[in-house]
Amino acid sequence: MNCIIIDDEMLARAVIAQMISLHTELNVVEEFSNAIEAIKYLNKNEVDVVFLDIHMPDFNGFDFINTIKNPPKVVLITSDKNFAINAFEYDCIVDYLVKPITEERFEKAMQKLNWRVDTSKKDDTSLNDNMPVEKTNEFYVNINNRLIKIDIPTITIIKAKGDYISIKTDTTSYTVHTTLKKIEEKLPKNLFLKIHRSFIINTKKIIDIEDNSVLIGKDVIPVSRGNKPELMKRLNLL
Amino acid sequence: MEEPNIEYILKLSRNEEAIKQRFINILKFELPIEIDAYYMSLRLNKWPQTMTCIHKLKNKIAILGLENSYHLADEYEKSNPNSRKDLQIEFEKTLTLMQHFVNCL
Repeated sequence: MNCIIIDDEMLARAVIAQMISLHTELNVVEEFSNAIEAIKYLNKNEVDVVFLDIHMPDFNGFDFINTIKNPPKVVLITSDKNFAINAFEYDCIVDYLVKPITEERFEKAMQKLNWRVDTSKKDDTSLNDNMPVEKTNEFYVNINNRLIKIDIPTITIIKAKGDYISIKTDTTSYTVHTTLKKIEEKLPKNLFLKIHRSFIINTKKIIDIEDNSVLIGKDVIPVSRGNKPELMKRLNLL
Repeated sequence: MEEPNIEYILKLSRNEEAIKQRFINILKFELPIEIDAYYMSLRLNKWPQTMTCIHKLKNKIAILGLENSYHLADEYEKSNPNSRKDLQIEFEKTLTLMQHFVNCL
């Protein structure tokens, strides 16, 4: 995999390059001290992975990702864990490393990277072979650096809570840093419906509907007036 | 006061002298530039630039194993300009200590 390193600190770039050198599957093709030069490079060249410092003057790591049309896989590097919270907003971000980076932590990031690359390759292969694409019945959420599998049919309610969402399943609840819109894209439309600006529900889990609310398990969920007709359409009314 | 060390660099270079020397050379080259940039932006009262300089220097502080100084620098970076003279003094002491240490490598 060809990769580039973007960091305004020469020492930080050298540290990353040294760690990468221990991975034969990675090949550093270029290093940049600022994101703008890297964008110019990526306009003409393709790479598989970017090791990207977040905190850079003028044009930071997130500005960089937002500017690139199809960003490659990104491993973020930061001195500030708080910056990394935003990482969950981007699909291209594989992991984030806090400076000073330890070799152990770098190894973990490489495992995640290889896993993501393998998954993408499998997806590409199945598409290229014109094989019927099996609909996945699960997705993974990142909670405290652990990827946790959630079986989609077991989800009952998804609620927006500021910058987070709460995913309630038949047995557990998870709080994940993402948006309702992003998770909505992952859900099968025949099963899930947004009934309120803060709620998506699994329509198969509805126990009853009364006025402008639905009962799912023991939870009463409000239904917006605008969303009620679509909800009624979904029900198998006698 | 805690003392700087090159344990991180030694671990990273896996006892390969050439790699160790490369890291030390980069430190010798980059540290004084960053320290100068810090004092310059501070003198010109450009706090955002000063914060950027502190942020960059934090990495060097961590690489040289100065854990307590790192936390103080972190606090200093997040403080309001001119509100924490105590942190500024400690940070600048750390810079002097690091520069002296790096000069002797």
